[in-house]
Amino acid sequence: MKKIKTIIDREPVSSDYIQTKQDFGSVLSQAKNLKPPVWKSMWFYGPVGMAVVAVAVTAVTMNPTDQRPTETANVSVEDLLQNQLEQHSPIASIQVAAVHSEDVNEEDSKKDIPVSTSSNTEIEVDQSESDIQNEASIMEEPVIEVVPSQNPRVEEKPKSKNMFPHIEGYFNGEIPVSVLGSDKGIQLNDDIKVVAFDIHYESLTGPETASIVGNKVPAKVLEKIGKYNIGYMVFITDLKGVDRQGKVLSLPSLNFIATN
Amino acid sequence: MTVNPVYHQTSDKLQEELSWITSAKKDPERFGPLYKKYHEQIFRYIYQRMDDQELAFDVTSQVFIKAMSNIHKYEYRGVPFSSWLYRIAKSELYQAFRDRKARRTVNVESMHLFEMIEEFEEDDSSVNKKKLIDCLSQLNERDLQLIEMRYFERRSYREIGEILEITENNAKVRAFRALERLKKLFMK
Repeated sequence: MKKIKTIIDREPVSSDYIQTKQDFGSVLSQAKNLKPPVWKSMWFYGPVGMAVVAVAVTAVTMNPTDQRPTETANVSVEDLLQNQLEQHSPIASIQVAAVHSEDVNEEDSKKDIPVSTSSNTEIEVDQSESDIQNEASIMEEPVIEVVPSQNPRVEEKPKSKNMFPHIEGYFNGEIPVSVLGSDKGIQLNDDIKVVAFDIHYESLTGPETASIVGNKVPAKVLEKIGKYNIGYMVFITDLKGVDRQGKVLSLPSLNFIATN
Repeated sequence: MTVNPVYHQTSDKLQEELSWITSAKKDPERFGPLYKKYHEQIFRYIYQRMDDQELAFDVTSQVFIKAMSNIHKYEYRGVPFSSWLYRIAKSELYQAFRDRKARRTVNVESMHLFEMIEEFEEDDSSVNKKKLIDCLSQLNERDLQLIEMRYFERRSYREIGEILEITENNAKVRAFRALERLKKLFMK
């Protein structure tokens, strides 16, 4: 800290002298010219405000932990499976790929079409045959590599089927009552277990709804369906599943026609 | 102790001042009467605390420029307009100490030193005067400000309270404690 200077008996300044130093005109003009500080002007708040909002939005959207709670309610089945498989070991992706390898090949064969057309256009440019062959082989190379189920990006698309619940492989349509009451109950995949659902069916008194905890259709309900619902629709709705991390998911409904 | 006639005003004077303020809020050019009335007072307050006269005039001008540009924020609280100007002056003064490297100065008259030494019941010797000056420079800014206003500028407790935005009684207590601390330093 600076040391304070002490002055003893300084010569006083007269009031007349002070009055001569008064200059209201100068003060007035300076006050009029005084601009507000940059941080108080709208020009500052416009760009700075926008930048702050942009940063905030980016921070919120880029943070994966913030996304999860919003997704749980209305998350699509495909996205859920994709997230699940990305988080788990590569074994999961291999399993799914093995189940749907046919679909992969179908899709890959579709992808081949633009490659072949592009090679045709190159012929029109009058390139030498060897060049065309080389280019064709180069173009074909990635197609050959894509076909095996080792590429995770190609494998991910068909996995969506596994997200549809089923009973012993019945996804919709006619289902025997015996299968409806299968011990395995409503299944999905290894990662997601069905924990609750509502079942709507016809009974003697009219339409009935039963809220079930678990993944199996109870014997009482099965009995009623067997008695009064043969040939009629049975709706399984409000399916709730729980994944390995304990996250509750909403699953697609099942619509069956009960048969003997 | 004398009373600052410019500071302590009758209610008529305060009402007149209020009408000037109201018209100055509408038109800055009407600030003139307030400027004329308080220029000297504010200059003396600033010059009391620095040694550069020209800089003191400059800082005084800055005080009025700030006052004029912020007059719309002023709220009348039944105290003279100068208490608001003093607060601006204090802020501008500290800014000058920071930005313009102005030196904090205490201007004191021999008479004031003599009175203070007498209050401490000591001899009015040159040694004691020197010691007292030394002690003044050891005080913190808050205590020094109170000693300055009360014992060197002869301001009333009411005026000190209004400048420092504290009550009159609080100003009295603080000034007494500041004097006690000065005495303690002096008696060491």
